[in-house]
Amino acid sequence: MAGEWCVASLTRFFLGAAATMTDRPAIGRWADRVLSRKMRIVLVFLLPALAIYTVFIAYPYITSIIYSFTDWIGVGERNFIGFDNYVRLFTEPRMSGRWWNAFKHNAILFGVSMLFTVGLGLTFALLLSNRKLKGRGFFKVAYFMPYILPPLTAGFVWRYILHPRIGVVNEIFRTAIPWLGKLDTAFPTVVIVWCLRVTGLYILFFLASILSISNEYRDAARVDGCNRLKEIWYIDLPLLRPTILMITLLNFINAFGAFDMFYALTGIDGAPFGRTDVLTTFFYRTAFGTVNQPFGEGLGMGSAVACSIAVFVIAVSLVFLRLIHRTPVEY
Amino acid sequence: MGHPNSLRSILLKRIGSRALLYVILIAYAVLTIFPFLMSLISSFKSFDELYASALRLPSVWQWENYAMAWEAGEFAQYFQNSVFVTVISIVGLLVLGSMAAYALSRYEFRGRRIIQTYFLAGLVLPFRLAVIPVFILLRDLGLLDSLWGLILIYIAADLPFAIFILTNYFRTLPIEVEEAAVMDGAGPFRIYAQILVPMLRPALATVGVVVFIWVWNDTFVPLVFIQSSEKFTLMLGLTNFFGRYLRQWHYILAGSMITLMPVVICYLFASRQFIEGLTTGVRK
Amino acid sequence: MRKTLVCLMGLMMIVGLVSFAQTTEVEVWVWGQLTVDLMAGLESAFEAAYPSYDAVFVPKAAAEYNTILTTALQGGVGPDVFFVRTNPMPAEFAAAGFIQPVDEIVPLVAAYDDSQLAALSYEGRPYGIPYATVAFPIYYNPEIFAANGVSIPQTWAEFLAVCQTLADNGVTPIAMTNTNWVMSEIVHPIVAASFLSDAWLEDLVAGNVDYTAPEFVRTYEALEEMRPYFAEGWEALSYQDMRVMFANGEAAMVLDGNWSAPSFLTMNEDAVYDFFILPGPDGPGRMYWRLDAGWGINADLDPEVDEAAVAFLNFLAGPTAGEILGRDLGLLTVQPGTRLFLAADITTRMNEARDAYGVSIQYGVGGPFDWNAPTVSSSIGETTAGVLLDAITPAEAAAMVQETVDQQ
Repeated sequence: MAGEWCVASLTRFFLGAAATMTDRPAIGRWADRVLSRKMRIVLVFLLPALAIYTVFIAYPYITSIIYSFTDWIGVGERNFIGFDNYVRLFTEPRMSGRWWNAFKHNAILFGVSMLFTVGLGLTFALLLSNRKLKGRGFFKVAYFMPYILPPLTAGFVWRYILHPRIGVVNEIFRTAIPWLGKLDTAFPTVVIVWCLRVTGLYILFFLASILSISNEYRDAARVDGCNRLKEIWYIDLPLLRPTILMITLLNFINAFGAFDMFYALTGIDGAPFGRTDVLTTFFYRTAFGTVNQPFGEGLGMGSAVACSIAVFVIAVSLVFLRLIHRTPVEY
Repeated sequence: MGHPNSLRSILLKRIGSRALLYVILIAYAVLTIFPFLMSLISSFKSFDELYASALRLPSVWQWENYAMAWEAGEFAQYFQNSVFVTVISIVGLLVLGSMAAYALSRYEFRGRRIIQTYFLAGLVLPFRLAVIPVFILLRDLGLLDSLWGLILIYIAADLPFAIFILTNYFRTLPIEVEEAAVMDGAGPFRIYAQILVPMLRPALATVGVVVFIWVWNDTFVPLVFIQSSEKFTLMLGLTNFFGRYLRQWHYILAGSMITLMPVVICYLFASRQFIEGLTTGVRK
Repeated sequence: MRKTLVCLMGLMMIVGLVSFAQTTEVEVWVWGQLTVDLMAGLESAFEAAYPSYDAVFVPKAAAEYNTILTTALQGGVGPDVFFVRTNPMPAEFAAAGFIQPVDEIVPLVAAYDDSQLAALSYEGRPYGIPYATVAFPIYYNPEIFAANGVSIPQTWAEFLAVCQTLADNGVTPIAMTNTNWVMSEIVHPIVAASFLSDAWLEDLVAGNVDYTAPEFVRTYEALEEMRPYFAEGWEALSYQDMRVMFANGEAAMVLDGNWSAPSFLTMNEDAVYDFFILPGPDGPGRMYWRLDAGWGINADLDPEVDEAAVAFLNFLAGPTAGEILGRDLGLLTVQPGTRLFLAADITTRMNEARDAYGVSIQYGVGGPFDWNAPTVSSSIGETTAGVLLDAITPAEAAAMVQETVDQQ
């Protein structure tokens, strides 16, 4: 009943709005009275996007939060249990041990990727910004390539490259090391592969920023007798601060949302023995289970894990954004 | 700072540092392209050759690996599905996104800021975390195991990005053209369709190209929401294929190359758009 | 033009008639492409027995089977007949209304032992037809053994000595993989069968002892003793890698389930293999076996309308299916009336070994501690991998398993 009324009103509204826009006599007087013509136009343009976004993104996020307060396993009944899931998640040694283990991996991933992207990435971007460099286009295309390849395919390809028997890496070094299987080498290997993939994007970010630095500054510096190195130190880096900060934030969000590559390289279990487990694979296992645990820990607990990750990422992002806005860039 | 004291050492220094520069740049390029090239070459090897040596070139280029992957892996169907989902998602996204961006950029109204922030929030949160309710939602709507379900999800998830890019771009568009059109008595829809959309083309291309990679490469969404094998996308098909031919790397590599090729080809032809698209947020 | 119209109308009528006819196709989901390939015999036997029906087998990746099946059933797009693992899966599905009881649809169910149906039952009614029991021997390559002058070991010490001799001669003794479910379902039970006594197991199930007991820790220690003889690089080898290694003669032994016996031949036509039971510390060992899975039927199906599905289920419960599964998949089938006379020699001998040396008091997979989350089998799999990777000690492993059970 309510549904039909909604549909009817919306139809009348749209008809009225449409009539307005084509300058024909309005069919829906109701719409005329409620909203100004401008608002109607705005809504017509905005509503489809707003609707799809709300229904498929916003609403699910909210519902996810609600589910995290239930004991639902995915089939059967759903009972409200308050904060039990969260309490269990952070006090039960089994669950919290795994959560922090995964968190640790995400944190290390973030740290290392910062080194790679800001350290290596910036360096390469600076090198590439030299307009006299031959083959700049080629280098740009090459460095960026890993990023556009599907992470899943890249994962399989890397598995082949790192294979203990037929992989190139082992052939070159004359070893037979199971890079992705050994306790101590698995995580570093995955981290390096991940950084290789992602760095290309940031090299381009930096490059774009560097190139957009107005030439006035550079000319002024040239007049003062600066060489390239001094120029970098006094001009590029300070002006790149906003970019570096933005990339830090992006790195953070990506590092804590990493999934595809980890899934492709070491599977959903974070093998070996949880050494490559990250928060997203932990979430997936908790919510959707594995071979030996068909329903995982349940969708309620799964949602709790998801929310805990989301809360953390959002909180840190907001704090970070606040910090950025407070420190103005001085030239 | 040392003082160079002979022509020879100056030259050496110049060539030396130049060469070193190139060595570093090329080394890194090798590191990034090598996996792709290597697997491309290996995908043409026969099984035994793969196991004999990873580095040698194949003696006979086994095109049949690809034929096998294409047929046995049923990649034709999956390819079709991927193309369908990607194209429709991009079109839908561009239409809805540009409409929303138009409303948000060119009209002042109460709650405009809020709605903009509302959309921006979607950029920060990864979709994966809301997957369970979306699953229930699609099930209740009868859109589970349906390519249209995927399309709706992709459009919804990429709207924040599209709106972000497009609203930024709108700011760079001169308003005079629209004002002139209004004077001529054009309604908002005409302005949008006939004037703004053509002007938006670079930004639309940018968004289209970026979203193309995201949607084409995505595995997670089809993994959760598609059950019937005839509706698999290419990535999902590859996962399945990998599980079936677990140790037969020559097939797996051939299959992998098939899934990569569209993206790589588009990339090589339109690398500028790709790069611009992804770096737009940086150039203010 | 008129001809085309007539043809079209005729076509439409045929299509209409066909759709009004009762469902004659049954969609069956199984795990693993290899399983599907081997099901060809079953499929043709069914279609020979019921010419008007058609069985369509669809494989789903084994590791994701649970999730895919659950999401499909939840979404109302599930298959007609499908593998169900042993409890808790059938119980949860039954409670949620995804599967229906089979006792009325399949009269043959009455001929099964209650114990066989227990792991597939919910509230006293069976919700699945037992698929097959699985047993876990050690496969070995008789030719490699003969070439290196070793014979089947009779005690644990002898077993380690055999491994050492093989290693000394440059042969890889044991093919192994680093996959959690293999650890949980195969590797650990193979050792546990020979190191845990029935008395202890009964105590465990009764709750008189727990997993931290020294007997259980000993199983992990035994695994550690086996570790030096694993194939090099095993940490990154997949389950299939491991099996192919053995089938190709690159390793002398492999720990695997009875279902792999026919598969070795598909990997290598010339594969030679036989099995023995892992010996215990003092003498002959035992072999674990258990009910692996069952066939469930979608609750959405109406027995009156979906005749094909019902017929298929009945076929599966009968001796013909039992013989064929025994022959093609090497399974130790339990359909009443099955005598495995079609099965390969190795399967019949495994069946006999099971009768003579089998142990089926489940401590892990399929056992009572697996009926609730967190399942003990997931913990056993993890800890076994952990010990073999040298991440944790046997004592720590046992403690972790107990901790998991405590959380239930």
